[in-house]
Amino acid sequence: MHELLLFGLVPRARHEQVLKILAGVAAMQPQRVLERHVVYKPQREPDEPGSNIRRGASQGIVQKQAKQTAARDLYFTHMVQTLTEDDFKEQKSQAPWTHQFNDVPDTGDRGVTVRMVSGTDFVEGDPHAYMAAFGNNFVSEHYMDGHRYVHKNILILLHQVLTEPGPRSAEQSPKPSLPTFDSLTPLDPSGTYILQASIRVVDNGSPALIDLGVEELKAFKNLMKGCVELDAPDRLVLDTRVKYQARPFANLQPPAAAA
Amino acid sequence: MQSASSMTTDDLKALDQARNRMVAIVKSLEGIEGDLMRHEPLPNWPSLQKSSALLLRNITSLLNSTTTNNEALQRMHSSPLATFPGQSQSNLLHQLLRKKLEPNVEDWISEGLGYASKFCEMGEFGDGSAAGQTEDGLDEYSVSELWEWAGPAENDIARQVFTAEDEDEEDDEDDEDEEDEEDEPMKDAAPAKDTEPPRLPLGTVLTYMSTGAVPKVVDRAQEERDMQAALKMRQARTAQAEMDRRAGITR
Repeated sequence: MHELLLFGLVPRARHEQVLKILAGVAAMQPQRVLERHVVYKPQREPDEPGSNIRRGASQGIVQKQAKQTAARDLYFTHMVQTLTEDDFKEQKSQAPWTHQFNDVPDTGDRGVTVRMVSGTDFVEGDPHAYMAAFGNNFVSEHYMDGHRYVHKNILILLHQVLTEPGPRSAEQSPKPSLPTFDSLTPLDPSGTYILQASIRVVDNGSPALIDLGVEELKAFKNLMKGCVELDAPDRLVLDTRVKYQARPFANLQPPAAAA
Repeated sequence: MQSASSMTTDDLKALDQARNRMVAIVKSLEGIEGDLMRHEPLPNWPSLQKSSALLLRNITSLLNSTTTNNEALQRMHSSPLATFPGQSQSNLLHQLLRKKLEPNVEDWISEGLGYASKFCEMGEFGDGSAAGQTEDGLDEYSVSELWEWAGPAENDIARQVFTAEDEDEEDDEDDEDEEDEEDEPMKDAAPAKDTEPPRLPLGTVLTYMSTGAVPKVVDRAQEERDMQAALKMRQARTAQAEMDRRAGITR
């Protein structure tokens, strides 16, 4: 499934106003969306870029016939649970989880972000145990609070990322119980909302259909001009690949210790 | 023109710069003139203000360049070469050699100075009598003081108009219980504006949403320091080895 995306920023002061405008545009009432996102990172460190290409001479001759495959990328993935406000009151939820994978957006500037996404519903069992068994490490979790509209083929999501306050690095697994809703704080201290307009194209990457979606999304961008400026961000800010981090000199002992 | 041999490249550059700036001024003046002539209802004030700001900027840059190259420009004077076609180009020649301003330009200047001398000290240019004394009692000092106050004050007003929508309500409350809580709305309003945190860039939020962490800033300086330390260590080691070797030889 391909997803076409545009993003815009809405200051907190204008949130109510934009909600009303969008209700008028889409001719529907906003639908509350609450999602819990747990981010996982593969355990294995990615290979050094170019390490698949043989270096040096003597070894290379022997292994010349070996198939040279590109270094496989590793991706951050999400476990997503759709919640309601009641879940926050009870501090636990039985809502089903979905395993979500977003690819790096396509290259090529079409004016909108195009990326491959896939979601797999998780039917039963412990999602965290499943992810850990597949060699994933828990990174962090955040909550998404927003409202959704549907306008023609466009999904409009006006949302905000909420996090639990306090240190995050110490945790190794997602919290077993939900926090209270009031204890969550916006990731962005100014409380700015993000307007995300997206079209999902299910047909397996048919270019004509994607172009049609791009056109429709651009028409929506024009419609919103002057209210919210929608734009396609740099594709690398949506990069879900795990980065290879070379730190060539970091493991050297400091000179004082060596002497 | 001055003989080319005594013109350095710097002088030429100064002249060329001045010429470029003047061309820009002439262009923007023509633009404004065209706008005023062509548009039947006059152009709206933002566009007029924009073009006047543009003009002002051009003039400022001309003034800057002439001030920096003041010395070179002062030195120059035009004198025609013998080969200049004086017969056919006499008009141009006259224009080049004329030192005095055209009469209508002189009129403009004196008119402008007259306006200016109404509220500020014009020194040798003004007629002196009116300097510092005006009908409405503003001298140069108070005018500049007024503008120093007016700029920030206008900004404040604009901020109130554009950001605080509930200003009216606060005012109403203020009127109702002004005795005991007179200061309270101000206390609330002022720090809220000052401590309004800056918004995160969209990219940061999106990166957080896709990778679960705020993007790490790669510390180039730290890497640099690591590298320097490693190099130094290696140098010290080789120097030490060298000294040991020499000591071994001399022994």
